[in-house]
Amino acid sequence: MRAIMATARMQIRLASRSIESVMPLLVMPLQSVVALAILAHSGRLDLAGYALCAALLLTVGQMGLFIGSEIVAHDRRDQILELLVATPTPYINVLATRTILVSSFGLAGFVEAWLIARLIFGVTIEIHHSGLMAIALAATVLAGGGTAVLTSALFSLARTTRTLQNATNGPFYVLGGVLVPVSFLPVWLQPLSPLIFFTWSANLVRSALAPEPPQDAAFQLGMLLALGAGAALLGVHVMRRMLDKLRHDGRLGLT
Amino acid sequence: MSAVRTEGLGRVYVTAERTTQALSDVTLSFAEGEVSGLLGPNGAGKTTLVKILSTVLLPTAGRAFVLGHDVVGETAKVRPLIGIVFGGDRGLHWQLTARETLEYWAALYDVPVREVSRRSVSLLERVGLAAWADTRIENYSRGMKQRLHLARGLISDARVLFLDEPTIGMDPLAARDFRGLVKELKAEGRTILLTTHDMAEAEAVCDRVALIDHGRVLAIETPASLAQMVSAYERIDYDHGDPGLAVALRQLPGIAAVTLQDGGAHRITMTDGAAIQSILQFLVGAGVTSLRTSRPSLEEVYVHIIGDRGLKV
Amino acid sequence: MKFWRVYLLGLRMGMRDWTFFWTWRSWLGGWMLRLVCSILLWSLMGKMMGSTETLRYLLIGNAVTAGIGTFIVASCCWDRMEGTYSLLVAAPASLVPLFLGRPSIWAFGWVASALLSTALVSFGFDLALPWKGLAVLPLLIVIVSVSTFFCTAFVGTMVAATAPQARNIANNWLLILFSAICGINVPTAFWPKWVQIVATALPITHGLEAIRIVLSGGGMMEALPQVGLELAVGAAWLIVILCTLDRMTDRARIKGTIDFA
Repeated sequence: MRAIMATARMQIRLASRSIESVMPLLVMPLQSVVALAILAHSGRLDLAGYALCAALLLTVGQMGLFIGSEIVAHDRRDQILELLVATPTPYINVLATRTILVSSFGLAGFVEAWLIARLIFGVTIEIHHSGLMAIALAATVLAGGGTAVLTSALFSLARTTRTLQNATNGPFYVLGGVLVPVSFLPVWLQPLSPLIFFTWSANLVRSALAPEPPQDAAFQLGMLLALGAGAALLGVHVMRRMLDKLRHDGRLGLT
Repeated sequence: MSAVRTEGLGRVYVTAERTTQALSDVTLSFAEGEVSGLLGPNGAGKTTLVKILSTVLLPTAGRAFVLGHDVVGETAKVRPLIGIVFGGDRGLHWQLTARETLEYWAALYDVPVREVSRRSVSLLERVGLAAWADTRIENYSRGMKQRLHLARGLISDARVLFLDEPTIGMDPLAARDFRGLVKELKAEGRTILLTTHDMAEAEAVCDRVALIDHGRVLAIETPASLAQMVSAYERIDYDHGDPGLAVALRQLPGIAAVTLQDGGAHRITMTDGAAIQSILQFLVGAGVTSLRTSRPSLEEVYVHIIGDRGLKV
Repeated sequence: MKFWRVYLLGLRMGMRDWTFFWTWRSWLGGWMLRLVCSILLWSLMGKMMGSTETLRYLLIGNAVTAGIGTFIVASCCWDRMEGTYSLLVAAPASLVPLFLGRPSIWAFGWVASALLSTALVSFGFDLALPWKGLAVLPLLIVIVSVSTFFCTAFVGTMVAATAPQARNIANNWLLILFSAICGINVPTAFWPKWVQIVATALPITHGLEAIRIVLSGGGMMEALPQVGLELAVGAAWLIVILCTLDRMTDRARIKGTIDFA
């Protein structure tokens, strides 16, 4: 527990002192300007909640999948991984603490996008089911952090992490329907969507923003958490295998 | 019980391009409370050995034990016992301050909470970073980072310390302080294994030194016998225009060779250190006013130990 | 002559950067996939709102500019970060061709990205683009890429000189700015007057307008004024670079911000 708290404190310090490690917070919410402009131009600002949902999920997602996924690779590059592995604290505890925390920073995207809608487009986006929203956000952060454990483990073996980050994040957001709901995707792509945790997050967030009573929220929440937990478990397994392999190959540190 | 023990330890690195035998059949034992040195040139296998002992690298042959625990099978028992200092200036989160760094690692080593702050302060004091405790590491010089590494390695109060080229990047004064620190640590009863390619450093702090090259341990000596081995092959450089002097010198007892160096100086290599006095007297008598004695470099000692020829390389 | 020789040296470095990031396979399978996803992300909004006109507008805007402006700011900063900047400053050659050479590799990538994206989108969504327009499209995309290159390379050298750690953020901000106000997703006329004025000085705005004209069946003559404006914008940014680059180095020498590695 102490190691987890200390790791969390350390991660907060890293984030507050390195602009690069919070890049998505400074970039992704601005995408809502584009989305809101498209909606406003078509006279459909009633759909502003969709833009908010997209900005939120893009920010949480990029914090996890972009920043979180770099953690192992950076620890290796900086030759910290060896030192961490040599401590009595299991590395996976350090990693999971960091990915979940980093994902949670992404929640700031919600506030940023809300303010953009309010200040630039004069739209006030109302949260009709705040309890559901809180639960949806918490579950999204856990799923994002869990998924990042897996991607972080996988990406650390790549020569250029950025290449993989660039390539993988696009499909997640389209298939997950973060901006445009899955039902508007080409029909042949739709079967893949339930496998992406964003799909369930997006449904929950949009339900929480809509005035109608939410439908199937419990099921969607269950799916979201199950996908996050599945990715996290797989991540733990991959991480363990990978550390064994790196220890075996003598490549824990990149030199 | 020995603090560090290896039995037929071997390590092979396999990459697409080549297979490297980094360690082969290393059998060693260092006693508790001993300061031991691993001395060898770059690429000798020193770091590989330290990495295996500190559980971050698996051996491909043999076994290794730290305080009786197998470093492969009992990592959970080994890790709380060891402290590691890797050379170079990486291995630190540069956005953190020194104090924050120590607090972070203390938590990972489960150092008792009430101990952490006292220990951090005293360690920073000890490595001379007290005035920089709250400065971010990104603003540190290389030598300061290296000193912080040392403090980081000591934060867990480990019984066995592995120091891999700990003085790389330190200025000479800091390196001298470091040697003092190692003596203090020894006085506290810790076991220290330190790698270096600096013969003087090894001589200054180690109880025993293992000479290692191409993955093999060539000899394990006390620094005294190492020094003896080296001084027995002392040599003298002199500047003198007359080539006849070299011819005359070669007739003297205890001289292995007299060779002309680049730059015009002559080098006398001795087979017997005791001859130095008579040779110096001879040179001064012959009117030589510029002469220097020097010790052979580490590589030359290797050549001597591996081969049994004279020191002429 | 010397200018081109140094430029080509820079370009060769850029090619190393490129191959560090991509192989042909990962570029096609990874990068293009990402671009197509990004195009879909925005364009499907048209479908959601039930407007084929908006769908088409978004598809064309996003496809013909796909990838344009990416990587450039970061690329301008790499010399700073690798510690080679000090060596370059100390070399006798002017820095302009070298500093333009290395990042210019990405502009070649933009042209390829945009052309391929347009082809994919026009097949995938059956856009039935006029052949006459398609014939001049490559030329127009080259022009847009060149003018965007000069503008973004200027930003890149500024970022390199002042805040290289913010290079990726700066690059992303630029891309969002283009995406928002240069007519990619909404006509520039949507924005208030002062934003329109800013858009006029930015690359893409006029070139994209010209592309929209030729892809909706208009003739090249009709698009020519916009093409001219795009070229003028590009030339203006080039002049800005030429005026500032060497001066920026001089300032850095005065302030002592040029570090050895």
